[in-house]
Amino acid sequence: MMKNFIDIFMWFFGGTIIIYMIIVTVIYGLMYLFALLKVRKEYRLDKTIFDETHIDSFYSKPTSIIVPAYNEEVGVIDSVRSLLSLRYPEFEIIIVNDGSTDRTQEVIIEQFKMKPIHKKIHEELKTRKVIQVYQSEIHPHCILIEKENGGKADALNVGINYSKFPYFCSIDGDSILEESSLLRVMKPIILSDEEVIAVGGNVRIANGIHMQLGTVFDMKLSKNYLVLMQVIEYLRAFLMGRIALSQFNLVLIISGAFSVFSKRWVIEAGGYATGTIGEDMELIVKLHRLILERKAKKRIEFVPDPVCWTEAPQTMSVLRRQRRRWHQGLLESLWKHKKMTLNPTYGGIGFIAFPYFWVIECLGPVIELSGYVYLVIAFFLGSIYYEMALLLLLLFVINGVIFSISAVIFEAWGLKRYPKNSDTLRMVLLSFTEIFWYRPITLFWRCEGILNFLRKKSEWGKMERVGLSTKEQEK
Amino acid sequence: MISITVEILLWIIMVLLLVCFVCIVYIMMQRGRVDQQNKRAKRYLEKTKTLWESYLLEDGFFSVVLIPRGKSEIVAVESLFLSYIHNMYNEEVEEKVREFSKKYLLKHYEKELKDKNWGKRMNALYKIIDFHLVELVPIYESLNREMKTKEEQFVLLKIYSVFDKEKFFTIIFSNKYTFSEIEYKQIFSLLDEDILLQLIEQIEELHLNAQYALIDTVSFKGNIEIIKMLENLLTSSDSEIRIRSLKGIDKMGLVKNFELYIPFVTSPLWEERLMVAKVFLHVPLKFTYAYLMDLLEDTNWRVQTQAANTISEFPDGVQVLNEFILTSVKEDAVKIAEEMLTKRFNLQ
Repeated sequence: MMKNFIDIFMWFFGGTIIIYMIIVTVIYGLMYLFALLKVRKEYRLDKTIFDETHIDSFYSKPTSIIVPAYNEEVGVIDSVRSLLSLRYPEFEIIIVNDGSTDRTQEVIIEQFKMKPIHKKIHEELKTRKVIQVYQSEIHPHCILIEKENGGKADALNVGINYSKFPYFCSIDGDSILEESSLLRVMKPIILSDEEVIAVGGNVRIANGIHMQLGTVFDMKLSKNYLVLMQVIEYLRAFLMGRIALSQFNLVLIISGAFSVFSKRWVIEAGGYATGTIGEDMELIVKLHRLILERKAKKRIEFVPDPVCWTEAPQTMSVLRRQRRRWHQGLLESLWKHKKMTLNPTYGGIGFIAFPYFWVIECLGPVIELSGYVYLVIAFFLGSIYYEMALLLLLLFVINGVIFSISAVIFEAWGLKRYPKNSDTLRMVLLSFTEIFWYRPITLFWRCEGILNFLRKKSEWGKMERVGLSTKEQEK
Repeated sequence: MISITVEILLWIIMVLLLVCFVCIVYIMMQRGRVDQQNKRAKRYLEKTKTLWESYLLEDGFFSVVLIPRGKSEIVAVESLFLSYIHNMYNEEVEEKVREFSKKYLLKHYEKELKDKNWGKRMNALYKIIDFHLVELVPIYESLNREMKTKEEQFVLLKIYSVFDKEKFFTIIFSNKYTFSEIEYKQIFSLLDEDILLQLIEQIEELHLNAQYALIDTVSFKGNIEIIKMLENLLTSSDSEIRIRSLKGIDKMGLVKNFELYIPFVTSPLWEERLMVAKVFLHVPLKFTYAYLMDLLEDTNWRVQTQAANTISEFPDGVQVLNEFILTSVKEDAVKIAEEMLTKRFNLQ
């Protein structure tokens, strides 16, 4: 009786996970194919032609860059320096100090010679109190807003209120932009006659690169395997998932570390939602909702070419906190807008994007982690389960190892940000180990994120920064 | 059943791994090739740098050493030419670049134009404009029509706008392909003023995006002759055309027929009210006083702010705003007028 029960359970359990893994593999495979076709079209194109043409303000759109900063004393100067050296005809930089408790404000004031100014604005979004506005004497298009602590979303909303241009770009306080990044991320907006209302750029991990005065000097991969694994993971997520989803206007996540928005649409959507963990995803979902409810012909896109460099966690504990938060944020947004799921009013977003994010991105870790548990149980139970376990393991290999290697190859062929053969080989070799350590660990952390959501536990993540400039690395 | 599936999966993994391995080897070889090409290009530039300078800038002799051999040297010459063309506006240098390209680069670009890869074709099309390789246009036209994407049609129209005005007019008025406003701007800004005047006379026959771009371009170029035409557009049924015409007129800073602007003071669109408040800066205050007072008490804060700003720009503007503060009962308007005066005071 007991054995029968175990048999039925194991067959059902194993069968479900295997079917799930097959579905996931097919979906990722298709996404990879779409991304490949998209990048293939443009990979021989000389992208500087576009840059040269649109460097004139007559052929581009002025943009406000908002940099929310909370205790970013280590990274914020490099970040702002990289923004000051952007090749873009007309932009302003708005640094929002969200009540930092470290020396963020002092270093900015000191470095950019900021002086207090009186700036009157028309408040379009409700925010916490602004204490003082400063303007740089050496870079008049750069301002600093000192405000009461209210979280990243609130800081971004303040930046929107103070911005004077019709588009704004949100950048994390520790992120570095390449000089052509803003021009390239604005391309879909410039060329679409405002049909595109939000664009996300490609976020890459900066640990290991050599940088001085906000400019990337030499591309080097980190020696830390945990960081290296994240590099591969970012390549997979950005290059395979988002390129494909973007082609069908199904992107639900564009990274808050580097994205551009139409100010009008964001204000109409109510701005960034304060009190949520994943404010970037939340905004995108709200924008999609607004577009579809108004039946407007608008799009949200992801572009792989413009790159933003950001610092990744270097230790397990920080990475764990980050992943838990990300997953909790994802679940929070999906839950908040659950009525969009399979709702005909929301077309492809309701019928494809939402189910995809629910089943594959959100519940995936639970099912996949169960697969790992199944592998262990099957090992002890023996006989027939060995074969099922082997089948599952092979699916893990395709889903983990093969797709990761493919993403590395894709990058090396199409985008070429890591030009050294030794770097490519290191990433390929490390991809073989992914399913044995990195994948199960991160799956576990993401499951913890689900638990945190269920327990309504809010955890504000703050990453310990090491800094990216050469000077900082030498410390 | 399961063992068969395991076997199939194993095969799939083996094949996929093999494909990955081949791709990695290919990418590494390709990188090696590119490195070699870059080195060759660098060597070529080092070797010919002074010869090029002498030939292009100092009327020096042409040396056969300059003739590029192989793709890497062509790429080097191309980058050198582009840097001269984009950073120097010297007719003589441009002429020499064109002459050289015609003699020694034509075959290369012809091959690229016929390539199946879209990126290569696009790069070559832009070189037709940069290096004036008009000879390549009929060759490209004769290629299979289905091959040409919308982006290629755009560059082709740009080419016609420079080299074949007749074809340009036929295509632009046929509205067969429509482009974004910024793309039209790129095309129009290459045109001479007389062509722009011809276009604006027939503006209604153009696609709406082209109409917007044309208004912006002529306003940007700032030819005063165009004011009358822009004023004619103020009666257009399309609000965007009216707003852009107002913007253009404001940019040029001249008002010819004042009567045409009065209806905008009571327009249901705040953008039009805002723009007319801006345009009134170019008309003496005694004619616009009453209208600006109405606009100062507008329902939209942007219009109010603009009206206050316009008034404050006139010599007696400060006095007018002070009087308004004392007499107006509209609290928000008074506040805006006060803010404007504070701003003026701070600027002084």
